[in-house]
Amino acid sequence: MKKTMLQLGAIALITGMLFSACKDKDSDVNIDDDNDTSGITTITESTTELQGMMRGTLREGKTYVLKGDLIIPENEEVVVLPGVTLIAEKDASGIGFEITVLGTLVAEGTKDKPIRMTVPEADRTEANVFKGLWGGIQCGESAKLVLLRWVKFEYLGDQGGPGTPRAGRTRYGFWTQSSNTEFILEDCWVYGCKDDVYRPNGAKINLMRNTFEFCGENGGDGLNVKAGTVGNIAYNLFIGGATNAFKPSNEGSAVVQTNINVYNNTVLNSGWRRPGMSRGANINYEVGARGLSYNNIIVNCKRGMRVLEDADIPNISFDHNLYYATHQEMADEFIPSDAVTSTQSVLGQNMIYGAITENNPLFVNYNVDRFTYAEYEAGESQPADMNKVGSSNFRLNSGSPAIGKGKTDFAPVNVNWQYATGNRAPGIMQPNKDLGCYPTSGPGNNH
Amino acid sequence: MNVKKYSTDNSSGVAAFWRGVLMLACFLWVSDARSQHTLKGNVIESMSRIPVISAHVVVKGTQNYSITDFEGRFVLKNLPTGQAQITISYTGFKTLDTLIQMTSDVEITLELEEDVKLIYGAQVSGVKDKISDESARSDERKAHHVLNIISARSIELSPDLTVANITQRVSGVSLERNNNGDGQHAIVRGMDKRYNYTLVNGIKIPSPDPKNRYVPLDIFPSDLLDRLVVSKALLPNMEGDAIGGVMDLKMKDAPGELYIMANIGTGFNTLFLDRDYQTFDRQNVSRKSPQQVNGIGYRAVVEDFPYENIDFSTKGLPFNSLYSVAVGNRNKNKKWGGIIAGSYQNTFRGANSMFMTTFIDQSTNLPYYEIMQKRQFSTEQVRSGIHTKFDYNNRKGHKIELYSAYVNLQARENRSRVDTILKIGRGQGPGTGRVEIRERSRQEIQQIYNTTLQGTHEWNRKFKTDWSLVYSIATNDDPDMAEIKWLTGVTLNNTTGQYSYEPVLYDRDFTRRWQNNKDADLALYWNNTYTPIRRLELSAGVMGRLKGRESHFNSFLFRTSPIRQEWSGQIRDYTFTLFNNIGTPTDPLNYASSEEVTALYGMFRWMIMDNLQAMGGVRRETTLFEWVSNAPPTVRGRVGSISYQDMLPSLHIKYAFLPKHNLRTSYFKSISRPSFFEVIPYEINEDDFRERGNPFLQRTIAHNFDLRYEYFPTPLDQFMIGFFTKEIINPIESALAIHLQTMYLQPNNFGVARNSGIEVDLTKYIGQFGFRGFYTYTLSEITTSKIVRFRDNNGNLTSREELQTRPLQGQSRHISNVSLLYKNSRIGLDLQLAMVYTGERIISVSPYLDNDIWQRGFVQLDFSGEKKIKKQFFIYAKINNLLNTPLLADIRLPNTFNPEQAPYIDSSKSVLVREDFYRQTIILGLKYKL
Repeated sequence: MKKTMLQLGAIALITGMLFSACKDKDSDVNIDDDNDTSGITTITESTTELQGMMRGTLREGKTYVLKGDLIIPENEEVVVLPGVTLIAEKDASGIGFEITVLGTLVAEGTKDKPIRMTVPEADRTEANVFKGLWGGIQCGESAKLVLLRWVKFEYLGDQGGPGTPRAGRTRYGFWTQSSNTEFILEDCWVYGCKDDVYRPNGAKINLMRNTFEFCGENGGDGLNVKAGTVGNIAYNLFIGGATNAFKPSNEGSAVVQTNINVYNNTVLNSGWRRPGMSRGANINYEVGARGLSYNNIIVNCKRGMRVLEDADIPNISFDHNLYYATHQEMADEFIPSDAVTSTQSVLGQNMIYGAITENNPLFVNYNVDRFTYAEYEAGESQPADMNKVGSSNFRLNSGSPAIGKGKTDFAPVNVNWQYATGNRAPGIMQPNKDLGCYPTSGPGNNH
Repeated sequence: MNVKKYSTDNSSGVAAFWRGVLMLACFLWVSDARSQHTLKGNVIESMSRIPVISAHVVVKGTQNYSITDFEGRFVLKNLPTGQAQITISYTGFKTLDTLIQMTSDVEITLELEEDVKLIYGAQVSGVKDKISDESARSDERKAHHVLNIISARSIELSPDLTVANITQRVSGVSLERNNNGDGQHAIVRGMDKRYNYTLVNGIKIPSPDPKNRYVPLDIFPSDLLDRLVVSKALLPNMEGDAIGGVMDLKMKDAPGELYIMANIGTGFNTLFLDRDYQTFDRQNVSRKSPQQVNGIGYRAVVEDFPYENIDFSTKGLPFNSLYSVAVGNRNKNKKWGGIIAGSYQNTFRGANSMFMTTFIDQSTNLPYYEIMQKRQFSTEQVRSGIHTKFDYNNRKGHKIELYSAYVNLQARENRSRVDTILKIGRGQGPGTGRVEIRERSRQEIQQIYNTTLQGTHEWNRKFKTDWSLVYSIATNDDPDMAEIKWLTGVTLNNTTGQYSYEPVLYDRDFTRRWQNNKDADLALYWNNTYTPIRRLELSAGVMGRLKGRESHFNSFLFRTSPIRQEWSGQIRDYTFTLFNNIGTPTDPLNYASSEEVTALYGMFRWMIMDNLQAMGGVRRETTLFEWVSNAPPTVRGRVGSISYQDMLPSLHIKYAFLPKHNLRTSYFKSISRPSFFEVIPYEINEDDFRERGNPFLQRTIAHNFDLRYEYFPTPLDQFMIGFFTKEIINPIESALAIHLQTMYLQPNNFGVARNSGIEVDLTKYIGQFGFRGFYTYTLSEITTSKIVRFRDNNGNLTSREELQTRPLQGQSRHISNVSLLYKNSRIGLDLQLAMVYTGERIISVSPYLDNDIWQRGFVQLDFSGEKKIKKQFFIYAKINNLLNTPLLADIRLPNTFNPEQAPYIDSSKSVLVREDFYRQTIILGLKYKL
């Protein structure tokens, strides 16, 4: 009887509990909120070390040390004044820190007072150019504006450190992830980058008058543009890239088509450090990208400018570009043999190329014929001079076939700037009638 | 014709073994001058009057015997004139001993009686032989809700080695197969694996899957099973998270008397008659990643990564080996019983595959060729399992059982790939361009362990309680998957017209990665039943389960150094550097989660009339899910929780409007929880896709309705026709959504899906032949958002969202299974030809409009046979995939961009993206049964 009562009680209890709360309940979701702004430090006069979430101004001429990853939170801003030196240190395991931008970063140097973002002095050797000693500028999707003028970037890349968005993965010099982020790189230098210098997975860009050296250890492009990127690449000097100098592609998740005009650039010795068929082509349009490419000088690259079959061919045009080659293997690939039809279909009537050593652009101080073919193909044993500017001068001597051959009756891609306005507006330059980044008359690369 | 009828005599006291009496109903005398006579007869069960199959009929003291066929019939020839002493025996029945006067040919009916004492002396299922098909049918007939049962005997005679493959013999079930064409997951009534769950002996088991809840069914060797029960409707005392169905693996139970079974087999796959089996040495592979071994701060070095598992070698035809053994017994007073069963299967399979990757044209949204991959799989699967069960019964209504099971599936796979790039770089036309060669080694070790302590207490005739205390672990180790890549290509010399190969160079990058996860479940079940009056049963119960789960993922990138290295034929000549010595600590698959599910239910069973039963009630399930992920601080929601509660009513009515005819109808509400992984707010930002978790996912809720008519003309024959319909609210699908000009792949809830169908099930035995078949017609519909790539009015390439309505993934409109059986009991021969038809279905849902991948309808034919060679010894054969049926799959849109790159495929209407051949697997073996 006792057992019976117990049993009955149990059944009654369970049934009672069952009906005590007899309703469906919708999901109640609790997630932590990292947008807490209380942890943000404001940079003051006395600040010398940077790390964690910060806002404020880095004072003119001062030296700052990156002691950890610097995070510029959403809707916050860090301004770097001329003459600042930023030294990035490493974590205990040797991974250099980085700047993560979820808001806005403005670093404006001047010709006389450039900003330098680099590593401790002892590490600044030529042997370290491809080591990737710090993490550059990594943007989240909420980043609004990155404005960089007259900044020297050195030794970028390597794996992302623990706790960063690219932890344990390839970290590019600069990375943006949204078609709404505005990224302006003007009059800057990049000296040494392990992989791609800039990988926009969407951005509004203006990349003008920059100098790129030692880019890509054994692969990687100067500007590896993915879907959702719109803007212009002009008046850049690019020497010794591993794969491509500029590679617009519309591959990716954005609904904005990649549309890039590439004009008045000078590209040398690129495409040689990425073995394998079809790899390396200085200026290369693919996967639905569109844009115009005029007035460029291409010297001793693995192949000529290329358009792959899957690019937005009806909206691409190449013309008024000058190719020069020292060796027959290069000249044979002026029209890349793996993409003959698609490339030829975008070429205009004013391309300048011929046999080897023909159409020498006559740089002021650079011997275009100094390297053997074996030296180009030597991989990590390439002569260092192949990949840096040094004392060379890529301005044009009078009589250069690049003078006066340019196309000027086209406009840069029109970009609708939201944040880069007023005194932060990009310095967009129109095309020049001379080819390359150093026109003999009118403005060009200022380095 | 005189017909004699014998029946059993209940007089007891005659010493033990030979018991039984015969009763004469009528018999036929035909005078006959011959001295040799034939005895024909049939054996039936005395109570139900249904035939007894596989009973032994022996002329005592001779080798002359017969075994009854599907209709209970037997024939004994060459009986001399005079009295014949005949013994009829069958497990679970009293042995019948009888004398028959043979002066001419005789035809008789013999009745066997259930051995009542034996049944009540121990647990019913322990003694009554549930292995037979007959008892399976009988249980289906008696079941309170809609279910299907496959008996151990059917499993034994089937061509199937794993539980996954058995499920395709169940009406309404089709299979999702692995890379080697072997079954892996069940699709029940067109509902994908995520809508079903798996039980072992009625207890839900955790999954070794890194992201999901469902359990791969190929981990279980079929020979550990007593029966497979597939429930298609849920009772309030069953867990409420199945919309398709529930697979309950009933493992071998402790027997009523000594039971010994042993089995040994071998065989091979005919694929490896034509090509080599490729393998690698896995001995030096560490189960855990360098960081798991040495601590999170560890910086890996190249020396942590052995060469052995990237050093591939070939071997000749590999032979399968199969072993299983089971021993069970019960003590004299029947209080203690136990069984121990083990199984080991080492099988080699493979596939030769053409796999076409496609790119979606950015202006037309049509697919075009990207890479043509020639893939060859060589896979060794070592499947082992052991299970034990002990019970103690005090014979006063109290019983304790202890059950433990451990299953382990190790897959060692080599994938060889030769990729021809069709999308770009073919400026010199078809036959030229870039070629990439890849060799991948992988091993996966999945384990499930479960131990259950169970008690059943019949306090008195009105009250019963049972409880279970369960601890289970599921683990998955997928260590050091390594893929080496080489580049080469073909160029055309324009002047000579000669094709030439580029040197074979190592590509710059290769990866090795570790993935492992572990689930541990602690659960308690407590059920009470009260029977106040004969026709009414009331029950209520509680269930609670606490699950902890952790998942780890670490991937390492290596770079060729020096940059340019040609393939020398020796992998040990290859040198490389490690790019990311910290691994990938913020990968989203690094997470920990826990889940508490508590449930209460109340249930009734009411015999309204002798032939009308109603059963139903309500279940309340409360879920609390919590997680901690290792995402970087820039990702919101690294820590979080989700809780919800569901009331799940159900009602099941069974109406036997005529003897042997049942009409059933049922309604139940059920849910399907989001997977462990998809609710965690992770972020993946790759160049070509971005993915996001979704903590705001709602669980799916379904209203399920069933109507079924059943007819059981004989114990083995059956005919069923049923209709089902499901309204599925908030089904979860991954889709691309556009947010701030970017597309994200994210799991989401998509309105209401519907799924309805008709099932027909027919089993008919005629003498030595049997026919078993089902046909299911299913129609489902779901509407999700898809992306359309197009060129806008300004001439720019862009994308928009559009809704698309389609069938559920994995749902075939037509599925069917037909088995032809031949049974000759006299010579101990069983043959079976089993055909499965799976109609066209979506095997992969594309995020792009109309680009889903459809598998074409296909027929698979399997054969199995068993022959008795000596007392207790049998030989058997199983041949799978007799027709070498390929898997063919298409995107049902034309390729208008580059069809000329694969001139051997017609892509003017649809694009063939997969063509896999698996060849035949042949198994031969020897079995001993006591």
